[in-house]
Amino acid sequence: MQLDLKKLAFGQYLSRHLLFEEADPLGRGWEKGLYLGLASESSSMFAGASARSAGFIRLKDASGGEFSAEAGPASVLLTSPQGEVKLAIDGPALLLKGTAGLSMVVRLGFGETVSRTKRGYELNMGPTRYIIAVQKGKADLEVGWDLVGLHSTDPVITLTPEDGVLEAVFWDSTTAYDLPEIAPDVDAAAKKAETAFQDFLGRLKGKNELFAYVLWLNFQTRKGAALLTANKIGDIRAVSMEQAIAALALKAPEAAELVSAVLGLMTPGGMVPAWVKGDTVLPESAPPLWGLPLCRAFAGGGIDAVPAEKLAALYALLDKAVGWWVKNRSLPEGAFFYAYPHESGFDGKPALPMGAPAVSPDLCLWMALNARALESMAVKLGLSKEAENWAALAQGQLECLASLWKDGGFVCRSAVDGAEAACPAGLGLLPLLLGDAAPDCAALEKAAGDAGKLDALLSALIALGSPALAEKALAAGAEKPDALSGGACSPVLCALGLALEERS
Amino acid sequence: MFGSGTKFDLTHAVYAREGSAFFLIENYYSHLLQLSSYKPGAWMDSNPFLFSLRTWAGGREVSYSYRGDPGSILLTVPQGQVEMIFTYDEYMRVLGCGGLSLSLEAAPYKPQTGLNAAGACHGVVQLPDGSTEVTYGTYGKLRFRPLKGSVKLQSVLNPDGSFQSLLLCLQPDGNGELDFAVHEAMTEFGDFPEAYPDPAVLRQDGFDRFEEFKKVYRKPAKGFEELFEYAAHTCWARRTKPGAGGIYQSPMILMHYEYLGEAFSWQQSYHGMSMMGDPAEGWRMICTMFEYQNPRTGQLPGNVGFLSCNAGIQPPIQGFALDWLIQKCGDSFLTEAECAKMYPKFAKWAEFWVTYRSAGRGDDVTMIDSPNDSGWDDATIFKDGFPTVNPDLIAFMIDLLWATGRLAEGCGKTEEAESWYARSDKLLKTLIEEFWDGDKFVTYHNGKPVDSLSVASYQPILLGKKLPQKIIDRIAQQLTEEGHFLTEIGLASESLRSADSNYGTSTFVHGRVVAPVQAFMCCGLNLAGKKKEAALIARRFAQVSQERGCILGFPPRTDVYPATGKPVYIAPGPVASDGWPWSGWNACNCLTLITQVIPEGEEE
Repeated sequence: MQLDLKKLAFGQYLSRHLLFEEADPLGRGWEKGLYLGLASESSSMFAGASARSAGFIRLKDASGGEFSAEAGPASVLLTSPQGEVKLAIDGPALLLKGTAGLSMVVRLGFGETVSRTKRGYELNMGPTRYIIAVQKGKADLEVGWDLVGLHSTDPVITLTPEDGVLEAVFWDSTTAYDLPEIAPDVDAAAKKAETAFQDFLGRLKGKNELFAYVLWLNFQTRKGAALLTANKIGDIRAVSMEQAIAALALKAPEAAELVSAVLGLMTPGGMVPAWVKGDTVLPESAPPLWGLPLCRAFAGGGIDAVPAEKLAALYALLDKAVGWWVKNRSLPEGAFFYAYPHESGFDGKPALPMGAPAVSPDLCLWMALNARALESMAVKLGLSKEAENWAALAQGQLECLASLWKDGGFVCRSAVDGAEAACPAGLGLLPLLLGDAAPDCAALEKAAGDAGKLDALLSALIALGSPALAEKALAAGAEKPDALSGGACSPVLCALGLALEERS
Repeated sequence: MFGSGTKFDLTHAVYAREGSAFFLIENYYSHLLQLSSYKPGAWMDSNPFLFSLRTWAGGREVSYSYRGDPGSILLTVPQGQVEMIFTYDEYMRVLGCGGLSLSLEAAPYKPQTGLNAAGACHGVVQLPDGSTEVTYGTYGKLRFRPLKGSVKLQSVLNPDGSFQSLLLCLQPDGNGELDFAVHEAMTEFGDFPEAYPDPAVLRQDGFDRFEEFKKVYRKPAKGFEELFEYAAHTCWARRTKPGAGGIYQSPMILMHYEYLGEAFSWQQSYHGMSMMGDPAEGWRMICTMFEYQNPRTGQLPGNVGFLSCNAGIQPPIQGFALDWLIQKCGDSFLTEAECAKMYPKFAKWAEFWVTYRSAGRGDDVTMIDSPNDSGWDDATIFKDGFPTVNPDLIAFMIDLLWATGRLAEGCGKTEEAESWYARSDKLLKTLIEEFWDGDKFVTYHNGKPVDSLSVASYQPILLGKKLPQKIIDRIAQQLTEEGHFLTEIGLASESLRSADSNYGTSTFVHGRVVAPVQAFMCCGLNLAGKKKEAALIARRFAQVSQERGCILGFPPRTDVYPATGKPVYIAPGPVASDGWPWSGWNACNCLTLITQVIPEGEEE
């Protein structure tokens, strides 16, 4: 598989290293071309650093010429008239070896510096120490200092081969300079990466390698857990709802682990935040989709593949997360409501017709699925009384959902005065995910087929509701691959693509 | 203390109090009061979590005057008053009479920036229990709980559901009375109280806490009583409450509210130095940063915000601060238990520097690659770039090694203490022999001396009598020479003779007369026996702070740079100084000067 570095970066599961071709799609004036970067937020002592591209090292050959790149999941080969350079990633290390020299123009922000130390050339970028350690070859640094701007000015680092060979390691390190043991050379690192990617493929329900690579690439450690970022190049948030959707692409043990990871972000009160990014958390409730991937993963005996202690831990987490909704977002008669439109996860797309607070069919669906997942786990864990309670909650939500089915379509209901209004197409079609348990499944499936243009994520999610829709979505995707994968860059859409493969 | 028409209104300072996240400032442009919270750590110019306050009577807007004290702030109009009581807990009380309403309108600080403050609002919901919640994403949430009155929401939404404008009006009840509890939270609200204390109790709590807090300071020199009140209040109002959903483990003191609303590492030690009325509390302040120490590397964070620490670092001032406290107050606060608790932490901090900032010489000389590490951010000692070997930092290290030894000695580890003392002595010898050029202490960049006229070159005076007398004399001579570093308002951070001097709005120690420089040099001269000289400098700076407020720094001139004749450009606003807000850093430095350096030096 060849990667188009204009569309997605060369990188690795949990590693922050990136190599990509900046195309400046938003016209911000960034110089186009090949960049090295890190999936990180810039952070300085005084915060408020300006947003920038993930790329901070403009990479050319030592004569200033452009490289052409041939990239796969495990390694990249850069070629120019001066020679070639092979790169591979091993966790925090980017290893390279070749015959061409490198010219690297470094862009640093407020308070950031570059200097030469015994470890190599160090880019001091807030909590990050990016270290360029040359093992074979020569290195040179040109740099000035902006006294008032407090940053290094236009640093240029040039690496040139010695005896025809250039060999170096670029470390993504911290202020503690942790430099763990890594593969001995670039070829060994590439082999290790290839093995890791193949192993990841084995954990997926689908087989599409491009989708799998995008998913693999975009996992990053957040608050100690492996979570999917929205996009390592431009948006490194780990969005809670997207974790639940990504879990749809995973086999049962991995799906359970990912859902546990996102539930592990919950506040002491049990609210699962909408997203996390570095130390920053958006303390607004994420839509409670967790039961969806769990019910699918647990079906057909999948639950048996989840180790008991992990299942128990997941049960406790989900119990608490549902408890938050019971305490903060439920009405006396048992219906749950969204206090804010964004709590549906689709604010700005299909909005709640009367605003919030509102009872909505998608929320009935999610809470019914959560209760079902909890019921399955309770049974497995021998918690019979709890299992009964969860079954009752699930039934109550299905009844609530049925009460919102009016005249061949769903309505939303105000949580304040009970006023009802037709539910927008997207949210009103999601109950198709219940299959036969949905009110008038056939009508919903027909409506989904006729729905016209919906948000890509919503559309793919609804398509999971029936094999026919899934097949149709995949066929459309095969004709126009970018349409399904969001330009081959959206990890969550790629996850849905993998889930649709199984569903079809 | 702060009111309309008073010497310092809220275009100068903020209205705030200990433990509360809320602060009020008078907008420099609109002259309306604006309400915000320090907890998100937003910078005022780009802070959308900002609400303009207006008062209304009979449906018509009426302009108010205001006056704040430690208990509350009153907004007065002809028809009555609205009172806001910030509390030590996570809410404020809003009270009104005479049928007045108070509106909060999302509004940026500078309208001309085009910032849509309402656009940052993620939603407003009126809940079945009668309360109204506003959520601003990562900026936090507000919950308005009416005790008397109701909330009227006036907002305009864009087609995509985002807010174009947002106005919340707190309206009175049928008797014309208004009484609200307005809670704030960064993450989530806990359980709300079923009943609230009487407003008089809340008001009195502010006065009582402020009076109690002032006891940590000694009495000010005659003539500086007013500065003492303002400075003490500035520190008290920035004192954080532990817990409350954040990471503060014990009270710390913020730098500002409007910008840099965090507790900065070395400032906590400066505060500790000033608390000579209660040296145990001063020592506690010095130790606060160690609550966030990296257990493996020993690093202290650069600052502590409400929700997170910064990965940067600030200079190891703690040894100097401890030395100062002991010399001025004795060491009775250093109990054996305290020494046993803090010795390993100080040792780890010292080892951090010699491990991660080693100059690679095999000794304790340090080298840095970032200006923040020394605290001399934009000083000309860095004009050749990095890495540098700094005598200012080495001076701190000498005291840190000494203090670590003192703590070891205090808990019975005599042999280890001797080792730390020996390292301190050796580093002092190195500093004197290798960095003193007969005129100043020299910074080195890649082994070459940096040609600089920064006052940073004299920072090792903080070592006091540990330095040879001839060095003390030479430093004292230079620091008291008019027109060199000494100005009418204190010591300039860059010599007035320097062509590199720059004290424009966005500069720090590039020429301005800034508070921490006065503290270093004056305390250092004082410890070195140059008490009169220290008092001379201190009086000048304290005088200008008393006249112009507790702001971090002042330009020594506003017309031209004497060395070049070039004009000085200082942009007015956004606060009524010359761009710098009131600061806990200035305040604690002034308190050190007026309660110790000036009385001691002038008595002599």
